[in-house]
Amino acid sequence: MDVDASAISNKLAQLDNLPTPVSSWLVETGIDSTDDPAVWVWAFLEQHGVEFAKRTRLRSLIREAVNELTGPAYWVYVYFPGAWERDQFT
Amino acid sequence: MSSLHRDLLEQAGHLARKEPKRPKQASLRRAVSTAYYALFHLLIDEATVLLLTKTKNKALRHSLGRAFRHTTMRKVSAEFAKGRIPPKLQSGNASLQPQPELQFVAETFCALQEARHDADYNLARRFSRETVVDVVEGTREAFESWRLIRRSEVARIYLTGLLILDSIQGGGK
Repeated sequence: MDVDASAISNKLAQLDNLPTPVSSWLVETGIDSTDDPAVWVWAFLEQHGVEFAKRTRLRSLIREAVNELTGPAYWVYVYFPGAWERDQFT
Repeated sequence: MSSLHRDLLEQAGHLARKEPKRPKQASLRRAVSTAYYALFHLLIDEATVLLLTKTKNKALRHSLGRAFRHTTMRKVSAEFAKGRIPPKLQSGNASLQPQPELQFVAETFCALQEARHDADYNLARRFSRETVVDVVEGTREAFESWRLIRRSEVARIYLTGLLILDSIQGGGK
């Protein structure tokens, strides 16, 4: 299955009832270090110090949403930078 | 008592917060790499204790520890992360399933290995402090999850598989 980053980004932007608010998304697709197809997601969190349990729930929601588009063969790597760090990624 | 894996985890935390205002990419990248090696050495330590029960010969344990391969550990962890025991390790254990805690450890191992690869080799990838603090905290949670299930039979199968999966002759169950 071939899915582009913008389709994934659009799907993630439509997620609601998130455990903690996400200000923006950055998505890349490619091949990871083990030659498996993979998706990298940076979810920029609005709040400082979000508790680990909430981040874990958010990570699961993101992986489920991405794998709905890609199928289970894709690894989904999720990172949580702060919204205030967004300029470091452009 | 001090141990390499616990010291590495602590060091990863220090590196993640080393520069309070403007963290250096070098510190953040070393934090990610160190967090990976913390979990890597925890699992190897546990596996060598499990596999060499009748001796206190540390040199022998260290030799055995050097036989673990990152690629095999990743392959095994990928299966356990998905809630499956690899077919080659299922003989007599087909009814067992990895607990959620073990799945979390395995999933964290895979994620850390990829992050370490980027931290060490991919200069195009940026690391922010929040990202790295999350990585280190995830590693700490994996240590805690491991502590809860380390004496289970599935954990023993996991540890053994980390070493032997690619050496098992033949395929399937």
